[in-house]
Amino acid sequence: MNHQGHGLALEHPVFNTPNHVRFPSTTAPRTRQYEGYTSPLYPDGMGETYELVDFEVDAPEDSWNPTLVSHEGFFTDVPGFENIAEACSAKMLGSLSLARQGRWFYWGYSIDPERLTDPAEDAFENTIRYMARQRDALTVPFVCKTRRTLWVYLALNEETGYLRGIEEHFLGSVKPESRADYEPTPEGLRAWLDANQAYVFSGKDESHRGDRYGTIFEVDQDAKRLGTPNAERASLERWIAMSSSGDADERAVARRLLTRYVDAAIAPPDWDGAAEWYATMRERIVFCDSAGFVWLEDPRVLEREARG
Amino acid sequence: MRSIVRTFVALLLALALLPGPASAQGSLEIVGLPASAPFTISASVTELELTIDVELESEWHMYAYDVGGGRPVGVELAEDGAFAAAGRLRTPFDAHGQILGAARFVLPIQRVGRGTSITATLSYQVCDPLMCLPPQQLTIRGEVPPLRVLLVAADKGERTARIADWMRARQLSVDVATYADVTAERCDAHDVVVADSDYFGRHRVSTELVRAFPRTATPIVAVGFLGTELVQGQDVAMTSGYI
Repeated sequence: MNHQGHGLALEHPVFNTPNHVRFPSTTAPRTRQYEGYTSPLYPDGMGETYELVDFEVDAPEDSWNPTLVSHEGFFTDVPGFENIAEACSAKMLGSLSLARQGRWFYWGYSIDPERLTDPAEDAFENTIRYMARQRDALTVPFVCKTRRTLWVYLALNEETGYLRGIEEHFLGSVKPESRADYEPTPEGLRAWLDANQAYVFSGKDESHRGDRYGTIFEVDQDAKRLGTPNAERASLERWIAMSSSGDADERAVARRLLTRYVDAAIAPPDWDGAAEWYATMRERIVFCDSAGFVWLEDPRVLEREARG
Repeated sequence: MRSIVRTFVALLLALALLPGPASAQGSLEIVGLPASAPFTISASVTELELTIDVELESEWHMYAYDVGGGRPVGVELAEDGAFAAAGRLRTPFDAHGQILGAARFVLPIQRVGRGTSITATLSYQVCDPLMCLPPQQLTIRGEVPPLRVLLVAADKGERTARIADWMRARQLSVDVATYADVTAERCDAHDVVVADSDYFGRHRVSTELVRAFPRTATPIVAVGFLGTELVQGQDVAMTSGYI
């Protein structure tokens, strides 16, 4: 990206405390790569035009500023993740120049005062002061890429005709048994995603790790047979109900799914008391692909409790 | 005997402060304490918290909240000051809402303007089982030490000096380390770590060095290209492997 930003979350403390920051802006027509997409900072998509602000006095000479690329969902499921500003990116919406997760803040511009604009200087000071308050914030560790990665191959193909993701990267990113009927064409990927994306998972174990792609995905046949998308609360509640079923097979499947999708740090020693466990944890848990496709204890709840 | 107990309690309070937040603490002046007050009081402040320690004599108490009797403890900051409350006052209390013995009141604060001084008013009423003294107010005032920032950079050259000077002009206390010599202990001893990066191609720090960055409990502002390497290297769910 260059020196500019857009989609700023102006209500965020980094734009308000102690310095009230307001950037002069210029209006620009929406460019093609942003059409048809949404992001946390553009939940309804981008209008015909958007407002650009300068964080640096001009574009970096012979270089660039990197962004955190969300692609509409790479880390937006991380509880407490703060999307604060997007960058001018050749990629779709969701490329962040300012973001926070737990005790980490990403500042995607230079901090050299010779490069910063006056409003950016104020925002950077606010950022330091805001982060000083995050010592007890909880950071969600990265375990694996989200299932959105597989969708991006299709989105990039539709945008630019890019085929390598569909023909090569997809094959390297999904276990062979989970793509037996996969046709390496745009239509084939679309059909595969329609049938399987809701049931895709990955995790920490070696079978979900690869040298080249890092994360290896698998389709959960248990969840798929039951028609229970693995990230949905209704699915969790159904597995909990099934875990005390009189049918031994049904009970076994439910307990297998609960073991697979409930973070071991908060799972009960066994699932005999699944309903009681859920009654206690119901308001405290959230599903997160990035954390290993698990229901984990929401760090925001833990932080609230710790802060009294 | 009472002085021995007081010394012991003061020692415990001092020890309790040792592993506390990294922020530098400044002692504050207490104004208006009657000589006959049945308690002792001291106060300190960081940019994040105003802390008041009281030690009530035996049989005397204050109130943490309104129980229909004495006036509860309250702390107000001067409205035109550089600091404002950032949360509710935290006080210990027993089953009857009473504050007894040695107690610490903590008010989260945040900077809302320029300046280094702070003035607060402590409102309270002390009672024993038979009577309450009239409600009182004390003024607490002094200087707030600046936040301590550890600036980690490729080197200690002109660019780094420029950034450090800018931070100092913004009323921040700055120490400088390089990616090669930064340690967890130095990070932990500061309020915020700013991990700087020049533009890609000019960043002059190897990926290996960034990946060896110490793990710290201190919040980190990760800047630019090296910042993306840092969040990935520390396994923060923030990039999903793409930049």
